[in-house]
Amino acid sequence: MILDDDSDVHDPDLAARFSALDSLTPPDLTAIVAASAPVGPHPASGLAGRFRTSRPWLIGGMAAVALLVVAGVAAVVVNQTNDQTVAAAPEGAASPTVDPVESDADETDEADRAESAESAAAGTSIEPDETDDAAPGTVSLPEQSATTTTTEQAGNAGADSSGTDAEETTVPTPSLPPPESTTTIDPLETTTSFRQIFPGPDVETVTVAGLVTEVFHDCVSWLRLRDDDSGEITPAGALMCDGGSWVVIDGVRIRTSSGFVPLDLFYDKHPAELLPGMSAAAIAVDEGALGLTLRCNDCSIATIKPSHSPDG
Amino acid sequence: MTDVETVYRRDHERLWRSLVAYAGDPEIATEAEAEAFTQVLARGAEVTDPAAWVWRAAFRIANGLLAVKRSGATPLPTSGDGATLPASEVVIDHSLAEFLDLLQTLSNQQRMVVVLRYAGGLKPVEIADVLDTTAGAVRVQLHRAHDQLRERIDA
Repeated sequence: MILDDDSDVHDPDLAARFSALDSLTPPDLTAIVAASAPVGPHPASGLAGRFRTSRPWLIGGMAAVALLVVAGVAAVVVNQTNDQTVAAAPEGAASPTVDPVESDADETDEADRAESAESAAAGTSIEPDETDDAAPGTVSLPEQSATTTTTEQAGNAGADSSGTDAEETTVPTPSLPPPESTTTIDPLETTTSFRQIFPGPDVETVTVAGLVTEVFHDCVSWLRLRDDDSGEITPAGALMCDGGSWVVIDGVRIRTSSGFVPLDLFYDKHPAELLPGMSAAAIAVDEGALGLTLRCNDCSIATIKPSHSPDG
Repeated sequence: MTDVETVYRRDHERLWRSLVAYAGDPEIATEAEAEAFTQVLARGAEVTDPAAWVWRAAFRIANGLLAVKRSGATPLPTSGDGATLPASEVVIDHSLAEFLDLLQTLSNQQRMVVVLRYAGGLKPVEIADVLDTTAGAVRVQLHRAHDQLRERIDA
C-alpha cells in the first residue's frame, strides 16, 4: 500500500537536527580555480571553464596507467605474445580523463553488495512494530495456547545465516525432527517463492507452537487477535513498507519472509491462509538480532488446528 | 542559462550540505560536488537529467573519497595544483559535529537516504531516482535509519 504523503518518513526531531547544517556556508565552487586545465567543460554550458578540479591523485593515476601502458607495449614487443595487452593499452592511454564516477560506482556497488548481505543477516527488513504506524500494544495471549518451544540442535554450528551461507546454492537437506506437537499438522504450509537455499544441516532450529496472535503479511494487512479475548480479529493498521512478513505464535514473533532484500537473498514462507486465532507450529532459526526467521532450508510453518475463523 | 547552471544555482547549497552530512567532512563534500559538476559539464548532452546525475555522481564520488580516506592509503585530494578549497574554512560547531559523527554510525545506504531526505529535502521518490532504486526501498531504509538514530540519540 502506498501512502499518499511522506509524513511517515519525516521525523521532526531529525529535521531540526539537520537544520543545523544551514549554518554552514557552502563554498562557491565556480571560484575554485585550479592551475591545471579544466576537465572537459562542455562548450554549450554557461559554466564551461569555470569549474576546475583539484585532483592530483587523478593525474598520478593517469601517470601510472601510462607507465603500465609503456611497460605492456614493451613486453609485447619483446615477447610478441600478448596481443591483447597491446590492443587494450592505447585505449587506456588515449583516454583524456579517468571517470571517477564509473570507478567509484564499482566501489560503491561492491560496498552496497556487502552492505546488502550484511543487512540481510542483521535485519534487512523493517521491524514493523518499530515503525511509526505500528501500534504499541501488541497483543500476546500465551496463556491460551498449548505451547511448545524447544530448541533442536541438529549440528555443531549455530544459526548463522550470514550472506556467506546465503550464497550457497545447494545444501543437503537435514533430517529434522517434526515439531513437538501431539496434534495433527494441517499441511497449510505454502512455500511460495523460496528462491535461495539458506542454512542447512548444521543449523540450530527452534520449534515454536501455539496460538497465532498476529499475522503481518506484506506490510499491507496486519491482523491481530483482540486482547479482550473475544476471539475477534481486528485490523491493527496497515503499513507501507517492504519489511517482510511475520507472525506471532505464542507471543514469539517469527519472520516469515525477508522483505526488501536483493533478489538472491529473498525468501518467503508466509502462508497466506494463516490467521490470528489459529494454532500453528513453526520450525525457525534464531538469527540473533533479527530474531526468529524461517530463513533456512527446513524452516516451515503449518497450522495445528484451526481454533478460530474470522467467519465463525 | 543551461540546465547544468540551473541545477547548480538551485541545488548547490542543498547538495553540498547533504554531502557534508554524508561524509562528515566539508573537504570531501566540496571535492565531490566540484567533481560531479565538472563531469556533468564534460558530458554535455549525454546527460539527460543533469540534476539526478549530479546528485548521484556527487555521492558516488564522495563515497569513493571516503573509502580512500578510511583506508589511509592515499591522501585526500588537496589543493596541490594551486586551487584553494574553500571548505577548509568551514567551521563546524561541537553539537553539529556530534550529530555528523552520529550519522557516520549508520550504514552507507541508510545514511545516504536520511541525508538526502533531511539535508537534501528530497522526497522518497526523488531519492529513489538519485539512488536508482524504488521509493518503497527508500522508505524502508528511512524507517530503519529513523529507528537507529532515535535509539542512539536516546542512549
